[in-house]
Amino acid sequence: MKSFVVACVAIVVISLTSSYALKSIGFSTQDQTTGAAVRVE
Amino acid sequence: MLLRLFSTLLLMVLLAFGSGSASAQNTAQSDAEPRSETGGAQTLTDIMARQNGEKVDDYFRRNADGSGNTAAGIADQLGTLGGTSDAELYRALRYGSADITVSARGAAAEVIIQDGGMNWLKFRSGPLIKVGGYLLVGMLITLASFYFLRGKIRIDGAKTGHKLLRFNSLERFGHWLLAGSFILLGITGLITLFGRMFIIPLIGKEAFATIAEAGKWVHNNVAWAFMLGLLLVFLMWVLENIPNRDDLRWLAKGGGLFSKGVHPPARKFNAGQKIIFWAVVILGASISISGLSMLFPFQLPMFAKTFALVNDTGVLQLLGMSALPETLAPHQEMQYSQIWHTIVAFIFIAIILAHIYLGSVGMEGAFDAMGSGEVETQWAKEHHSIWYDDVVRETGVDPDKAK
Repeated sequence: MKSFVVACVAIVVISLTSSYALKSIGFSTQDQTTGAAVRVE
Repeated sequence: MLLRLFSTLLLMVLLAFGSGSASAQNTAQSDAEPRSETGGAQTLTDIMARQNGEKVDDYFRRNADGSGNTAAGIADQLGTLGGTSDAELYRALRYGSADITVSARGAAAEVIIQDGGMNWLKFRSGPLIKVGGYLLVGMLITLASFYFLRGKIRIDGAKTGHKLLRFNSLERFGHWLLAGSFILLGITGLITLFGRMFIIPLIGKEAFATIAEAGKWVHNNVAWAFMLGLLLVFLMWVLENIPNRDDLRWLAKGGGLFSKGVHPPARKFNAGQKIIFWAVVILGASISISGLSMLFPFQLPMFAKTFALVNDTGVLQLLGMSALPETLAPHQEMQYSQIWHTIVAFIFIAIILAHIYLGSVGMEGAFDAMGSGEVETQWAKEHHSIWYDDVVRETGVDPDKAK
């Protein structure tokens, strides 16, 4: 079951990386659909 | 006397003609403009038709938005509103013809009213949840019934105690990457869809909000692991999942699933596993595309183009169906994506439930293939005899005779 454990770790790493990467490049809905005069929180 | 009689007759004829022509005039007017009686507004017939769910041609409202020649003159009663009434302004907002300037970016921000959203909400909280829920419950009942009727599919022959490598570590990693992410996506997706109906009544809105927010994070980010796993699995196994004649023989015998002691020959993947493989690839690709469309809202519209392609095939016309809409508001694109994503997910989950059953409690020795990667040779001979012979021939080593 080593492969299963490695895959679970990979899922966690990929998820954290994607969350960080998408935030960093400003690809969230909030960033994409608001302007300077609009605030969505 | 005669003169009086003649005059009366003449008057009656004239009246009859007069009323007839007036009636014809009214009919013509009614045919030309059926809403003349309401001054161009909707009639009781329109309202009743809409309430009955029938399609109503709304041109008379859509075009009455105060633009161009339809606006009242500045000197008229409505001149103080710039010639456009409030009703006309709201119709222009509703039908998307109003000239809107917004500070928020994106075409979606300019859509102020989108009444198609109500159809989406009703479908999502009605037929979609019901039919999808019944499908999953039906699959679970079917599998439980199969288990009680057929029992666990045992290894028929005597176990040899020898093992044979069926899936290497990379194959097992790819499988579990896809499987693990699928389970997380399935659970969080079902929580999102059924939460309002089943979880909020149990734990309340605030507690559910925390779960839903965490589920959304998991769903959005684990999706990338799923797509990577899907790609990996496709590349590793596509060649071995191309259908061949052995599959027909396997299917003809029902894979031996329904009768003891029957083991149709199969290569590394039997026909049943190939069906699962292609279902996973096709449904996985489709759910990934609709998922990406929702992950990046309003940036990856796909349904207007898909509908245009479907219309071009002419299949709908052959079936006597009306053409699909080729112009969709940004929100409609998202609504179609969500509905399609969910429909595919339900079918996907139902299929994978059957796969999980056969790979675990349903068949003795099957889990080892993805657990340790090594299977009992007797299991291999019974369920994948052609593959077993190929491995023995290629490696030159018969595990049962090796010391």
